[in-house]
Amino acid sequence: MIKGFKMAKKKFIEANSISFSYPSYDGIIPPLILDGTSISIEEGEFMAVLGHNGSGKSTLAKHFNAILIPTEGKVSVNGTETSNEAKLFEIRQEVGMVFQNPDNQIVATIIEEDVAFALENLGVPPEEIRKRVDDALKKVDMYDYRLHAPNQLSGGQKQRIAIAGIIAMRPKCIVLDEPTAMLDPKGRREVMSTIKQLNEEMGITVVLITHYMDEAAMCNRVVIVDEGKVIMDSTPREVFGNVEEIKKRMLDVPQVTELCHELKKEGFDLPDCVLNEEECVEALEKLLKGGVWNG
Amino acid sequence: MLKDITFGQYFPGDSVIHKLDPRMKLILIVAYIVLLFVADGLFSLLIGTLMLGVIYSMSKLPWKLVIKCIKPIMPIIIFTAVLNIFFVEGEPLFEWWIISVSKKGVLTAVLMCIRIICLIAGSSLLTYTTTPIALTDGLERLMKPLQKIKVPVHELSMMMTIALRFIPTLIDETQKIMAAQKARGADMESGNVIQKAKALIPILIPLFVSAFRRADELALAMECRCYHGGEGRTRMKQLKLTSLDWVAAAFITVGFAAVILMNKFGPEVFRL
Amino acid sequence: MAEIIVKTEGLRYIYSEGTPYEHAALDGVDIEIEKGSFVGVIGHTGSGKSTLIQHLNGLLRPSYGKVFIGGEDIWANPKDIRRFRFKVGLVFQYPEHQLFEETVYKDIAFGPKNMGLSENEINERVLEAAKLTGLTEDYLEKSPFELSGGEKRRVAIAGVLAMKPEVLILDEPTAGLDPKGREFILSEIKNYHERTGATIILVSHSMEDVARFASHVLIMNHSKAAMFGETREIFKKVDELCEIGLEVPQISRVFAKLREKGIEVPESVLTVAEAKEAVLNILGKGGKADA
Repeated sequence: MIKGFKMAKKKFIEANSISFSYPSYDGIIPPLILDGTSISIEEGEFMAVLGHNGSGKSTLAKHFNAILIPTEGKVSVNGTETSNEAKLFEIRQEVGMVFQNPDNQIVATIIEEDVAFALENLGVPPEEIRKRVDDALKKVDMYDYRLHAPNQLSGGQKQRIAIAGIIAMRPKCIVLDEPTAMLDPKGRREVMSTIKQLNEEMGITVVLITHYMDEAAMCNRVVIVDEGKVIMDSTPREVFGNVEEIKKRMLDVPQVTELCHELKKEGFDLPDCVLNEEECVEALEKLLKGGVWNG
Repeated sequence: MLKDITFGQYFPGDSVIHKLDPRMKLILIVAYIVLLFVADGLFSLLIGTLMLGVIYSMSKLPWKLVIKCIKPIMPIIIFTAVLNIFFVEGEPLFEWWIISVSKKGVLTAVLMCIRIICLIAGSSLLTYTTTPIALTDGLERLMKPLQKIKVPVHELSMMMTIALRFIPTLIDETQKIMAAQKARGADMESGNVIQKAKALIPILIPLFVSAFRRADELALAMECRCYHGGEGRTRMKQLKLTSLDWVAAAFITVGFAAVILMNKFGPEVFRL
Repeated sequence: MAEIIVKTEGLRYIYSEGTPYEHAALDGVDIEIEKGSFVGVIGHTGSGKSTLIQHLNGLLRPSYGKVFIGGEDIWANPKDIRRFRFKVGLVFQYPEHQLFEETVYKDIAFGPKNMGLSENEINERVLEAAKLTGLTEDYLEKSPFELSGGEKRRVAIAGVLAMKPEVLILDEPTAGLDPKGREFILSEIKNYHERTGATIILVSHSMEDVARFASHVLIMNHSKAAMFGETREIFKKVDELCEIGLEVPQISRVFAKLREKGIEVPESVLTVAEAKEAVLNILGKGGKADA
């Protein structure tokens, strides 16, 4: 990893040893959901957050746009502390959020009106809204559907509308909480390619919470959260290289990663961590054609 | 499938009537209803009927829609007619046993029936040619002045919008839950009223739970999109009154004037 | 040949017949499923797979054609249809959304109760189903609404297992779960299959899961049964599946690409374990680098 390169970039979101628990109720003190964890996200990053249900990853994500305020520690977005209520809408406009269930985040009965929702809330002038809505719809490739009703769309399309509703705010960062969990493979592909495009073409920082390892393998940083703490934080190659550790935590690695890891254990010379099909085909081709070298 | 059908009575089209501003449509329909009650004779009312006929043919809606909207209120129309025929007193037209029918009674009955039919057909025309969302929008903007006396106009219209948005989703959900319970052997068809009501519990509870879950998630999504009530909110779509709207307004005004003139100078027959 | 438990004959289903929305959701489906097999059903959203499974337990009535369960035409006597709903258990997508009782116990008992079983029998079945789904006794008196998502789903599946269906159909039982939850549900299904010998029909979007568990695969496409056969045979047809727009497991794709490059690898590799073995075989045990 090139450390100098990373340091040159601007820190965008910073969480400093934050803890969170819901207020006590009926004398019962609820458990800590976040337990003194720290993380910083740089501008333009494409980061995956893994961890199983109840690990605290969604709670962590909700701290990034001031939906939740830590009970201990501080979170700052672009230099502004999230506890600063006067800046609440600025923060939410800079860090947008998309959720799992595509149905439960569309407010309006017409697609383009839904995309306009956030801008209307922010008091943007009508002509400007129109422009930004059309823009956002084109970016997610849903412009032709602008006059449809939400229930006429597929899950993947609805999710892209939800993304359009966020990017219309022109955020610097977008946090997606399992956006593909309820979609079929086609919908997943559509949404993933949209997200990738946001990051690559518009330079939007992406925080992607997911259970799909192949999606995490597409990112340039993978963070694993367990029991309210960040326990691994590195490139996908390094994180998935730790096959045993990941399996112990009952998470998955992509099939190709597992195969190469298994073969390496048998003593074959293979790259340290194989992340996708192409790399795997290449590695196996070398291995099977050339027989064994370095032996 | 249920969800394929556009909710409400909206009948898609692109006639001039469809294109009218919902605010103007709402005002004009109110004016038209007033007109129906101002008209005090058969001839005046016929002007009203004629106006409706013209508007209907301009809307290019199939005529059977008129019949469709009148049908459910047929019993009320008949009831009103009977009541008026037999109980309005006046110069008897004919008498038999204890029943007496007056000329005035028959006239009142006829006028009342025409009024009700025109009223229903007229307001249905509004819902046929305006999407529920446009109606809500129009209402919100018309009622905006009421905000000054603390009527939560924006909140009411937001509620209406969300309701419209989620009705198809919840219909869909109901069907899914019903299928799931039937798969576990739930019997919803047989039994007496009480048993049938009991059979609804396995459907209603999951439906409520799901509605609350959706409400929760939607509220969160709205917060993330900076929703904070109606204050300082702008709208993408600005309603603009076009010349079309003013023509429509003129049409109703002319009709109104014609009815008043007919009331004043028209023939004295068939009057109340 | 083994006994045929599920059979459809010229099955067609037309939605909203006679309206402008009319379309065939199933258009001539003929399949025969052997008793005790584990069938994976794959297809796009809208391919007709959900409509098909709802025909197998009589939730939907075919517009044309017939459905046989254990050799009986299920619509021979429409009044008798509930009997087949107990024979063919159907677990819908996100089944936790159907929970409604005050306690987990009562919810699992809903199906057996509808079957008109005795209290004793119901009790026995609830306990057995709870055990099969890994729900310990202290769960049974809890409210289903205070459980986690994964636990709720186990309760919902237990509710169907308690009817002891001969055929168990599951529509994407792992949707929305984390890897741990997915693994748990899948092994639970496998367990039920092995212990009871019931026929399993698993609708899934995950080719990896189907490859791991199913003995047979049914591919639905455009309201028709596009392919039906043994898992290994189906996943060999990489090109045909791609044409339909479906994928094969990642590992099978890798091996198909290796074959394209002219490397002699087995035609149908379905799982990581198989892949490892195949590579070891080719290189020979002695070929190990630093062994």
